[in-house]
Amino acid sequence: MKESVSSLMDGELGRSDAEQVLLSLKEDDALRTTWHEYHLIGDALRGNRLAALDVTRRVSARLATEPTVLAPRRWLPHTVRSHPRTAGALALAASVSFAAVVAWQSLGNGSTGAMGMMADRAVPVSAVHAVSDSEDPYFLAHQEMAAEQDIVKVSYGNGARR
Amino acid sequence: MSDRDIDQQLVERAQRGEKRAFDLLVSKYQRRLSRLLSRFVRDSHDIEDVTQEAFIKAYRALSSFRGESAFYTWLYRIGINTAKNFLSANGRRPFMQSEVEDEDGETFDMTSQLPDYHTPETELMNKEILGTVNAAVERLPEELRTAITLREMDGLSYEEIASVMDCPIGTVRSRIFRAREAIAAELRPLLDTAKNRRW
Repeated sequence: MKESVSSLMDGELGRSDAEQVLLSLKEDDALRTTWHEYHLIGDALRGNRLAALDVTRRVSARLATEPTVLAPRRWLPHTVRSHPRTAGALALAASVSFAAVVAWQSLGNGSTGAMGMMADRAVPVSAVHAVSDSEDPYFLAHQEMAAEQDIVKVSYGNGARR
Repeated sequence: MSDRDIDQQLVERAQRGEKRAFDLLVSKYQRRLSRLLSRFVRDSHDIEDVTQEAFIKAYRALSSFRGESAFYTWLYRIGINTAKNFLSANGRRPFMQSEVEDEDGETFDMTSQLPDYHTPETELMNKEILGTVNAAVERLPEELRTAITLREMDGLSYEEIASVMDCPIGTVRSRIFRAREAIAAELRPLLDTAKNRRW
């Protein structure tokens, strides 16, 4: 299995084998140590002078006190990401579908229960977020912090070689 | 599965609540991130603290990461802003302003021009690790040394290494693994000693 970890970190495993190794990494402490050692060796060979730095245990301890991230988010396939029109159409379709479901539940049941209350308050929403070139994923991830701490946008985006 | 695909898999697992998947990303990127942050933060302990904080912020923001950029590009942006916030909170300025990045979000390697800002203990440990790894590589049989060097330092794929070394891909796979194991065997005593140190 160690050899598979070696191949995995080199990007030389097929999808099914890679997923099997990732599953094993989840379960096997010794295998995670191997992952750690091999990456350290790679960094050292590339001359990283901070080879001794290791925050894994500290970060892991902090994460243990953090609320677990339970936000499954289906990653947009490349075809959708690169075609804003497609994403927009999907967003529109999702919005219409949602509104239709809410309206049907409200009118059909005439209920004053929870769903009826939801229908009373329903507003059109976009269930799928349309992607545009103007959106910066970093700022999407840090809008709250940016607002609170008055962070000025600093672009470290696409690099000097482009 | 490419390197980016592996990161995506790990992020998706972390997004589903698998914290150990995020640990693997920390293990993979911590030194690359800290090298970047060392361009902004001078003190070695501060670099460690900022690196840790950057990973915590990344974890908290993980639900909003949608894979539109590579994970490490996203992580590096968080790291840089964490460093800037750290310096601002402490009334300091980055000690070096001339950062230039490539498309991967990494700065040019100008370590030879950097002042020696490490503490003696940190510097000693860094030297011990680098020295042990380099010495272990020197002791490897030539075919293992060539394979691991072409992979780690030149970034060649197994197919390219097989072509250079005129051997099957399976042999390349095996040689790289054996090289890593041989180096790791010499490194482990040092890492065991370092476990109780801060660095």
